[in-house]
Order: sequence, then structure tokens, then C-alpha cells
Amino acid sequence: MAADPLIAELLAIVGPEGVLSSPAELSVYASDGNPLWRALPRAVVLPREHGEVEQVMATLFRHGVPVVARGAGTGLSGGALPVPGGVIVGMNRMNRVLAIDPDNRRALVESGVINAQLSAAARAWGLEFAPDPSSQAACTVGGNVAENSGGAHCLKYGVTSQHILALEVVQADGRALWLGSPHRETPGLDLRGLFVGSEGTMGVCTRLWVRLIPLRASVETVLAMFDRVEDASEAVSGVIASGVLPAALEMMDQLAIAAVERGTHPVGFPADLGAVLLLEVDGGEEQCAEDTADILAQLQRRRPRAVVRADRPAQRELWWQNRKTAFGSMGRIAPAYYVQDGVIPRTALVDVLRRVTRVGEGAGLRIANVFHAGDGNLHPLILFDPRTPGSVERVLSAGTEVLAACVEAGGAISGEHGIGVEKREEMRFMFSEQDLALMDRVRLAMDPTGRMNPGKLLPTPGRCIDRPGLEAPAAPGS
Amino acid sequence: MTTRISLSPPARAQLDACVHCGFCLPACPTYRVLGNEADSPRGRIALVAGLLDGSVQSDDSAARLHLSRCLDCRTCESVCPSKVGYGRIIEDVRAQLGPGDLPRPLRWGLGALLRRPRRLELMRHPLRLAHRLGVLPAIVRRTLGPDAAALGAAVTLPPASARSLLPLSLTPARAPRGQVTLLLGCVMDLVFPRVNWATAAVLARAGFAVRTPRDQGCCGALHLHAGERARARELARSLIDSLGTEGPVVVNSAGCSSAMKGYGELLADDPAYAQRALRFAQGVRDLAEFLDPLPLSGWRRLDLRLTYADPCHLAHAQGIREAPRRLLARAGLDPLPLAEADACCGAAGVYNLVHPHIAGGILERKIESVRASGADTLVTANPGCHLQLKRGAVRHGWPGRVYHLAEVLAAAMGEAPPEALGGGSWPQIP
Ligand SMILES: Cc1cc2nc3c(=O)[nH]c(=O)nc-3n(C[C@H](O)[C@H](O)[C@H](O)COP(=O)(O)OP(=O)(O)OC[C@H]3O[C@@H](n4cnc5c(N)ncnc54)[C@H](O)[C@@H]3O)c2cc1C
Ligand code: SF4
Ligand code: SF4
Repeated sequence: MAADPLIAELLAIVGPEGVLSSPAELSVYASDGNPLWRALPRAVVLPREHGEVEQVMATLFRHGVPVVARGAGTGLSGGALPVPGGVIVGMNRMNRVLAIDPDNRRALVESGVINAQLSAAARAWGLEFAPDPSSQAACTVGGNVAENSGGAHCLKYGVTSQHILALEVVQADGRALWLGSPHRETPGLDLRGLFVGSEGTMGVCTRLWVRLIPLRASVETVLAMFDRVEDASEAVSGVIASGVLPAALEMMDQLAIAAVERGTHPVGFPADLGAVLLLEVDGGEEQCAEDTADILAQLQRRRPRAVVRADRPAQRELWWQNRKTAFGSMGRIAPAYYVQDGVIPRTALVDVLRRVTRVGEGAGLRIANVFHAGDGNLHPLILFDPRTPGSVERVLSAGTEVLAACVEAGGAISGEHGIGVEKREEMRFMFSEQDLALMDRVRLAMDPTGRMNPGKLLPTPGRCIDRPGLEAPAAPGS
Repeated sequence: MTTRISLSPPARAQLDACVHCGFCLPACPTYRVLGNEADSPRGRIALVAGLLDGSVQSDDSAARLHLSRCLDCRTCESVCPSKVGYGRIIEDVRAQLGPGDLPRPLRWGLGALLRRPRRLELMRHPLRLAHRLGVLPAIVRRTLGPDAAALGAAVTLPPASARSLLPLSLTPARAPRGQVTLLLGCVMDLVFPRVNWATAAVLARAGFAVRTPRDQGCCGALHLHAGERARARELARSLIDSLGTEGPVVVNSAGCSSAMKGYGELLADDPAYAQRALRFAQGVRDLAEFLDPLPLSGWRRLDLRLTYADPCHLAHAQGIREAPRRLLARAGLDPLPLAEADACCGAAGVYNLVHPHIAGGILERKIESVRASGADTLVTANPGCHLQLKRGAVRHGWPGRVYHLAEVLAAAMGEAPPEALGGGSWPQIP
């Protein structure tokens, strides 16, 4: 039973259903949405309310145990990967919408609330939560905050940070504080902004005030099919250059189309299409009609095979479901995938795509491409079979090559999936030693003993988590 | 004792298709109640992967617990972008882990009674008597706990089965447009013979001659879900023998139609039956699926504000969602919108008896959404759900009535069942 005194103390706080410590249960939490990395935690704790989180954190602090916060575990960069000997604090049972304040367009929620469920609750008031990552049906708002997640409609409405008013954070020692204010911009340092995107390295967020936006009055959704990826890329540049700001502008290439068409929401795309664009404009009725006309004109100039406008909500819904299940449907065409998350200037799209193709050919790997084309956020999905010896190493080095190409083209190594354990080293592509040292000092100011999600986000000398294939040794006491 | 678990190639292919994306988590009823990933589809797949590579032992009590808590409701299959056929995996694993923590009386019930479904019928009169004398609830409470007793209180067994009342072959008033074979089922005919009767009546009104072979047994779905694969195969073979492979077999129990559509695969490695099983499976139609494309007429107005709750094995396992709703609409009974209509009610065979706490949480959520819909009548299409929802209505004080789709359709066609199939409520023509 609970021979481990730490487990006994945790049980006393959260009860028997709230602590997992058997090897089988721990193995379930060994990775997040990226199963390339695995490590076993010492225990998993599932608190039900803020007060329990304070007590749990204080207890872990006394025992000197590292902590990894976890939402739905859909992260793709190993952010919620356990650290050996550390404890996972899972926020899944804290999933309530506590208050909706329609007059001030804001809501108070627990951090484990699922993104889509928050929007569903807000819709009754004619409002929604704008950030819409493709994983929104599953991921938590706390995870969105920690990763500063984006989504198709963030092109127009901005990423998570723009929609967070205030955060209640329990720090490593168990003390809680609010960052930001539910009312207005606060003077002084923007600690709220600092926490957003900090990937669980500065504390556990338990409750937060989020901004809600009114439901869009008028929406037009357009699907454009192209024979060649180059034409689709040029169409993207054309649309943006025309001055229209679409609410969303998404692209999938041939291999990605092959996967979604075998998945749960097939649209019926011809198998030989080179690429498809999914565009949406919204706003007032007149503006919407005008923008749509401009967009259609732009698309027509790039030799599309077909351009279709959604004529009913169900059709639009299907197109979006199709796009949003793109990563998840890769299992239909390959046993595993590894997704990269580079950002590039839109003008470099055609060139970078060519380089991605060459990287794939060089490594003998198939690469499917899905992007938030409007903001140049590229998601090459490298397909592989983890049971083929050496495949993981090849995939990882191909991933690094792709990122290098993005940075060389003037872009960045992460658009929205975060750094986690995956891209710590690649941080050096973008930041000098001086930059990184400053980040480290800021992080230590928020977490002086360095026990919040250690080994993530910033490169550290020496690795404490193994690369794939080599499972981390079982933690002491488990 | 630890046994090394392995998966058959089709199940293994399903496991390999999982890309760990987590989309299935919020759809899973047990995860929604427990908030623990070991009780989610992705978590259970991880446990199975651990059993396969030996990193999790087959006698690990935690692994067994979380796997046994799965309802086998297949909601995860509906939402999985990679279309992972999770049901195939869990059934294979359960077949090897064995029935696990089923209470002994239940294991006995599954083994002894369902093996020969006619034994169930022999139990009808003793059970009714015990119920009348008030000793049954006490016995049930002692052996199976208070939840089973509450279930017993929500239903009384009617005096007769449809098996004993329906003619061997029912012929429609006019020249038949074809012939169908009706599955009577085991639970259905014991507890809801009226549904079988109503099904036959509606099929006859649709112009079909209805065969109901007397020697038909259980389809084996419950055994399959409980991991008794060998027994399920035995039952499948004898059902194919008694119903024959000529033609549409109409099934009014979603759990049964779903299992019977899988006979081809279940018996694929049985040289004597493989071909026939495949042909049989191709002829299986759920009632709603069968009626949906047919012209139906003679509707009378029923005064019901009804809503429809999808049985998991209809919506998630067979993808049949619109047909029942369209049929109700054609009867002038457009269902009121129901939040989370396709969320499991927690019945899942004998699940509510084994995991009453979890099933209770799931059921309460269901009844609350039914209450919020404003309906006075709840329609479903599977006997397990029917029982569970009736029980939920009693327990959570929802005053409405629960019917099977066939009962509502038959009533809307002006049909009324014989007295011997149980008195009580029947959707009335005002
Ligand atoms: C199929 C698929 C599609 C995706 N599409 C997108 C997309 O379009 N856009 C996008 O931006 N991302 C996308 N993602 C990535 C992922 O869904 C997001 O990063 C999401 O925000 C993670 O949320 P989560 O609840 O799953 O967090 P987790 O994966 O559990 O955790 C992520 C990080 O957040 C930290 N964390 C979680 N909760 C808290 C908390 N309460 N307090 C402090 N730290 C916390 C963890 O420690 C970890 O570092 C996708 C993922 C998948 C699998
Ligand atoms: S949704 Fe499908 S692919 Fe994704 S984790 Fe669940 S079972 Fe695996
Ligand atoms: S079958 Fe139902 S209970 Fe089992 S894992 Fe899937 S969704 Fe959950």
C-alpha cells in the first residue's frame, strides 16, 4: 500500500481516487500528445479544487519533489512529459466554468476546463472563447495558457495571450497569487503576460478570467482546390497582399488530404489534388460579401481546379472537422507521425516547402504538410514506423533540418506547440547565450528552487530525460 | 497468475493506428466521471500496449480495474480521427483476462442462463412470484447489492414472452412485399416482450411477412463484452443455424445487431462457418435502419413531447443516428433536441451492477439532460438502455415515460399489444 510517506500524505489531501501510484497507472501518463518521449512519474495527483492544489504543492515542496502540471496531455513538444522522480499534477477534475459575465464579455473558469466546452457554455450568451486550436475538443484552457496556443482563427483574433485577463497561480511552495486583473490593464510589470507561454515552469494555474468575443454575425467559408501546391501557396500570398484579413486561411497538401479523407470526416476531395485551401471571412454582412468577392478573385487568378463556397452551416462544419482532424487522422496512413511547428515569412512558403520535400527525400521519409498558411505557421508531419530500427533518430534529425530551414528563411522554431523538451536545444538557433541566461534568471525569480517542470523550455547543460527508445529509469519510490 | 496477453492481427492493427492525440478523452463517459486518464480510451490503449510488451503484468490489479471499467460503448470510435477500432482491442483483451471482477451470481447468470436462453424463460414464473411475494428484492440486494435491487424495482416482468404469443410466421394484411426474420433476443423477450410484439406489428404493417423461429437463442453480445469469446462463438453458430442465411434478419436491440454484424469476423477462422457467418452478417439490419427507406403509412397522431437518446451500439458502433429520428418525425413526433444525446447512459450490459458508482454518475448526467429537454417521453432502441433509463427516471425523479422506438411507431400506427405482454403504459391515441 502507501509505503511511500509522500503518497500517504497526498492521499490524505485528495482521497483515494485522486492519487495514482501503481506502475500500470503511471505508464498511462508516460507521455503527452507526442509519444516519442516517455518517462514515468513517481505519482499522479488529481485535485478537485484550488485549495487542494495549494495543499498538494506545499506537500511536494516539503518533500523537495519536482512538479509537472498536466492538462489533457495533447501537447506536442513533451511539455507535460514526466520528469523522473517528479509528480504530475493533473488538472482534469477541475473542469468547471464558474461564472460567465456576458455584460463584460468574460468568464471565470477552472484551468482544466476543455476549450470547446468553454465555448459551448459561452455560446448560450452569444459569446465564445476565440483561441481554437485544432485539438480544442480535448485540450484544456490551462494547457492553452501554458503553451500560448494558436488556432485557425487566431490569424484575425490573436493567440491565447490576447484572451487572458487574469490568472490564479499556485507557486512551487504552495502559495497562491493572482496575476493580472479581471477588470482592466494593470500598471507595473505584466506578470500575466509572462506566465502565458511559460509551459508550466512558473507554477500551476488553477483558475482564470478569460475574455470572450461575440459570435460572428456573418461568416463565409470557401474551399479552393489546386493541382499544384505552388499555385495554392501563391494564392495565399495573393489573398494577403490584397489587403483582406481573413479570419482563417488553412492549407493541406496531397498526403495530408489522403489522411483526412480516410478519417472520420471525409469531404470527398479527389485523390490527385495537389493542395487545398480553406478560407473564412467574417464580420458585418456587407464587409463579409466584399471580402469574399476579393478573395474569390484572387483565388481564380492562380488556376484553381475548383472553388466552392459553403452553402449551409453543416457543410462549413464538415470542412472544419476535416481540417481539424488532420494530425489525428495520420494513423490512417502511417503508424506514427512527428509534427514540426516552424514559422516562416509567407513570402518564403514556396521555397521552404521545396526544402521540406528535399529533406524528406534525403531521409527516405514521407512528409505531409498542414499549415496555418495565413500566418506562415508550417506543420510538416513526418511519417514513420517506430518499430523500424533507427527510424526515430532519422525522424528527429529530419525535424531539426526542417526547423533550420525555417530559421534561415527568417522564421522561428515554434508557432504554437511550444518548446517543451523537444526543442530546448533548437532554442540556440534563435537566442544568444545572453538571451537564454536572462530567461533563466526570470524563470528562477518565479520558481527559485527550479522544481516547476525542470528540463523543459530552456536548454540545460546535460540531459535529465532520455531521448526516445530509452525509457527513463523508474523513479525512486515507484 | 500472469499470462502473456497477445492481440489477433486485426486487433493489433487497430492498436497501431492510435497516434496518441487524445481527442477521445472528453468523449469517454468513464473519463468524464473520473477525470483519470487510466479510465480513458487513450489510457486503456496504453495499458494494453503495456500488457503486450510485458511492461504491465496481466495480474496487475490496477490495470485490470481500469480495463474492466470500460463500458465498451464505442463512443471513442465515433470521435477518433484515425478511426481506431477500440472495441476490437478491448474484446480481445477481455477474452484473455477473463471475466475478472464480475460478482459470482452474475458470472453464474451469464454462464448458466444465457448459455441456454430458454432457461431464462423458465425463470419467468418463479421470478414473478418471488417479486409478488417481495422476497426477490431482498435476495437481489443480498447477492448483487442495492443497485441491482433498484433496477428490479423499476421493472416488473410481464406474464408472457412474445416468443409464446407471436405466430411462427406473421403475415401482413395485403400480399407481402417480402419476408424478414425477427431476432427475439434474450433480455428483450424476458423483460420487454411488448417491444418484440411491436416490432413484428410494425414490420407487418410495412408489408413484410415476419418469421420468428422458436429455437433461436442468444446472440452472444453480452458474452463478447464480458470477454467470453469462446461462448460467444458457440452462440453465434447456433443462432446462424436457427435463423438461416436467406435474408434480412431484423434486430430491435442495438447491442445484438452490432454484435451480429460482426459474426463474419468472429467466425472467420472456423472453416465450417466462415462463409455462412459472413453471409448472415450481411443480412443483419437494425430495425431503424431497415424501416428508414421503406414507405410507411397509416399514422395517427400521438400526443407526446418526446426526445430520443442514442444507444451507443447504434450510434457509435453502427453509425446509425438519423434513421430513428427520421422515423419518429415521419410519425409526426419530431424529437426535441437532447444535449449529449449520444452519450452513454451507463447501462452497458451488466456494467451498472459491477461498477454502480461510475454508472450512477453517468446515469444522473443523462437524466438531467433529459429533464432539461422538456420532453415527457424518452425513446431509445436497446433493452439495456431501456432498463437503465427507466431506473434513472425512478431514481432521479423524472416523471416521464421510457419507450422503445418500436413501441412508439406501433402505437402511432394504431396498434395496441395484448394484455398478456404486461399492462401499464402504452403510448395512447388521444
Ligand atoms: C491533433 C492535435 C492538434 C493540435 N492542434 C493545435 C493547434 O492547432 N494549435 C496549437 O496551438 N496547438 C495544437 N496542438 C497542441 C496542443 O493541443 C496544445 O498545446 C494545447 O494547448 C495543450 O493543452 P493540454 O491541456 O493538452 O496541455 P498538456 O499537453 O497537458 O500540457 C501542455 C503544457 O502546459 C502545461 N500546463 C498544463 N496545464 C497547466 C496549468 N493548469 N498550469 C500550468 N501549466 C500547465 C504543462 O506542464 C505542459 O508544459 C495540437 C495537438 C494535437 C494532438
Ligand atoms: S482519438 Fe484515436 S488516435 Fe487519438 S488517442 Fe484516441 S484512440 Fe488514439
Ligand atoms: S468504449 Fe466507451 S467507456 Fe470504453 S474507452 Fe471507449 S468511450 Fe470509454
